[in-house]
Amino acid sequence: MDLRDAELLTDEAHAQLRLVEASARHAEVVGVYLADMEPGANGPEPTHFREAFRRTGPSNYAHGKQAEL
Amino acid sequence: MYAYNDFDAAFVAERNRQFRAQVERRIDGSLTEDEFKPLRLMNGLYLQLHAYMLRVAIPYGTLNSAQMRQLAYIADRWDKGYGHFTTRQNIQYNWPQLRDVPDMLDALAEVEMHAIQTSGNTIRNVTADHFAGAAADEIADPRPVAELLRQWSTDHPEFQFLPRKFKIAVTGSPNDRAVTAAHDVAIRITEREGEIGYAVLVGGGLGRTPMIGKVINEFVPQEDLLPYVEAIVSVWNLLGRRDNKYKARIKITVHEHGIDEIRRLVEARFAETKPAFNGADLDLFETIKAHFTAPSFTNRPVSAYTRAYDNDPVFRAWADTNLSDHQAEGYAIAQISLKAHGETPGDATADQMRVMADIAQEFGHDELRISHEQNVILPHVHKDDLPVIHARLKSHGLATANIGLVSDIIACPGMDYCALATARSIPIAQEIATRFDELKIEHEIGDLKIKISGCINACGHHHVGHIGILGLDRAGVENYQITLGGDHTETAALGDRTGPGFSAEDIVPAIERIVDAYLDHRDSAEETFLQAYRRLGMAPFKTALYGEKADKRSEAA
Ligand code: HEM
Ligand code: SF4
Repeated sequence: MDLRDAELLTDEAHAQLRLVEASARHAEVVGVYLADMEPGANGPEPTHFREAFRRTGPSNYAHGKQAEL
Repeated sequence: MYAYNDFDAAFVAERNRQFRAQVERRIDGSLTEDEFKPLRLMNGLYLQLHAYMLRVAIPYGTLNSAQMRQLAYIADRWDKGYGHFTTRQNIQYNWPQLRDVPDMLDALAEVEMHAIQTSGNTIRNVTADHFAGAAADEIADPRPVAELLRQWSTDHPEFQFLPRKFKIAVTGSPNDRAVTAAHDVAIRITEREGEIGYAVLVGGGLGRTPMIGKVINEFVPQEDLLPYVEAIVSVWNLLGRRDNKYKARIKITVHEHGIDEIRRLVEARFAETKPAFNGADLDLFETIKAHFTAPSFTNRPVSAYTRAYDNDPVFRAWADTNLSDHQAEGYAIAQISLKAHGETPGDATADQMRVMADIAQEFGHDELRISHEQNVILPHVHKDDLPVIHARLKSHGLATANIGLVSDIIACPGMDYCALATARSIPIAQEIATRFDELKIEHEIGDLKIKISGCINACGHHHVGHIGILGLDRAGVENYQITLGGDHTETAALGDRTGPGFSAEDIVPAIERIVDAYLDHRDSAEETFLQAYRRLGMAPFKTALYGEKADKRSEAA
C-alpha cells in the first residue's frame, strides 16, 4: 500500500468506472471516493491537504500510516 | 452513583450480543457498509479519516474509579493507549479495529457503561454540571434528573428516529457550567417558595445556525418533568424538518414557528402526555435519588493544606486556579487539567487514567467527573489531602495550573481525525498554549476561554468562546475565522466575527494581538477579557488584528 505504486487516472469516465469497481469491494474498503492528485517525483501527490493528512496520519501523534512506513 | 439493576444489565448485554453478530456479518461480507452503517451508529461507532472511532457515553460526566480503570484497560488493550474526552462528556477511542469493538463493548458493560445513543437521530447522552453534588452554589444535584431522563430516553420507541440528534443538559446551580443554553433542551433546577422545579429552555444549539435557547417554561413542577419533556420532543418529532437535515434541529423549528406557538403546542401535547404517566416515573425518581446521596464528609483540620499553600508556590498556583468551593466545610473541588501546554486538549493516557482512578479511590470518595471543558474533576477531596494529591498528579504530568486560563482550550478533533473537518484544530490549540506558556503571562491575563472547532458543526463550542476559532477550507488552504465575546454560562451569548480569517501560520500571532489589546485596554487586572470586550466593543480588537484601516478592509472582504 504505497502511493508510489498508485495509478494516476486522467480520464474522467475511466475514473468513474474504477470508482464503481472499487465500491463493489465492500469487504475490503469503505468510503471510497476519487481524490485529486498530480504527478510527483515519488508518485502521485494529493492536491488537497485533507488527502495529504489521510496519507500520513494525525499531526498530534505519530500514529496512522506514517507509523507503518 | 447510579448502579444498574437486572433490567439495565440484561438490556445492555442483549444489545452487545446483537451488535457482535452484526459485526461478524459485516466482516464476512454479508452486510455492506451501507447496510452496516445505521447499525454501527446505533452503537456509537463512527468512521473517521484514519480508522473507526468508538464514542462511549459518560452519563452526566460521572465515573467511579473502577470505570476509569476500565477505560484505561480498553485504551491499552484495543486502542493506542489513550482516550479523548469530549465536550459532551463522552470518551472517544480513535483507533479501534472493527473486530475488537464487540469485546470493547462487553468490557464497558462490565463496569455499567455503553455507547448506545452516542450517535444517530436519537436523544444523546444527557449532560450535567460537572460539579454536581459538590458545588457550593447548588440548589439540588442535577444527576438524578439526568439519570431519570437517560432511563426514559434510552430505547424510547417513539424517539429512535427523530428528525435529527437531540441533546439535553441539566444544571442544578444558577451558575451554569453545563452550557445548557446551547442544548436542544436545557433544564435548570430552580426553587420557588421552597418548592423545587425546573426552568426549561428549548431551541439552543451551535453548529451552522447557532442559537441561544429560549425559555419555554419558567417553572415546571418536579412531578411534571418527564411528561413535559416528552411533550416537547414529540411536538418537534412531528414538526421537525425531515426534508432538510440542516433545518431539522429543534432550534430551527422554534425559529420558524416562534417560541409562543411551540409553547402552545407543547402545552396541548402535555395535556395528553401527563395523564399517560401514572406516577411510576415519580417512584423511579425517588429510587434514583437514593443512589446519589452525598458521601459522608469528615471534619478535620486543614493544616497540611495551609502549610503547603504558604510555602510552596507551585502548589499555591495550582490551588488558586484549579480548586473551587465545595458544599462541605474543609473540602474542595479539584480540577485536573488535561491541557498540559503543547499536548492535545482532552487526551489522557491509560497511565494517567489509572493515576486519577487511584487518587479518586484513596482520597476522593471514589468519584471522578469529566467536564465539557475536557478536564477531569475530583469532586470531593478534603483540603488536607491536596498537597499529596498535587504531588502525585505532578509526577504524571497532570498538575498543570491553568483551569479557566488562556491555555485551557477546548478543541475538537478537527482534520487530524474527523471526516467532516475543514481544517485542523488540535495543532492550533497546541501552538497557542505553547506560545502563552513561553510568554509566562497567562496568570496575568486571567479568565479567558478559547474554543476551537474544525468546521461549522461547532463541536469545539467556538461560538460561545470568549475567543472562538473556526477552521475553514478557503480554496484548498486552512483558514481560521475569529469570533469575540461568546459566553457559555447563564449569560450565554454568541461571539461576533472580527472580519477576514487568518492562515494557519498567522492565527497564533493574531490571537496574541487580541490578548495584547485586552491587556492594554483593560481598566484593571480585575476586569476580565469578556467584561472588557463588553465595555469596549469590537473596535480596539479589530484595530489590533487588521490595523487602523480595519473597517474599510473588512467591508471589502
Ligand atoms: C467523528 C467525530 C465527530 C463527528 C462526525 C461529529 C459530527 C457533528 C455534527 C454533524 C454536528 C452538527 C449537528 C447539527 O448541528 O445538526 C456536531 C455538533 C456537535 N458535536 Fe460533534 N462530531 C464529532 C466529534 C465531536 C467531538 C469530539 C465533540 C466534543 C469535543 C463533539 C461535540 C459536539 C458538540 C458540542 C456539537 C454542537 C452542539 C450542537 O450541535 O448543537 N463532537 N457534531
Ligand atoms: S466541529 Fe467539525 S471538525 Fe470538529 S469534530 Fe465536529 S464535525 Fe469534526
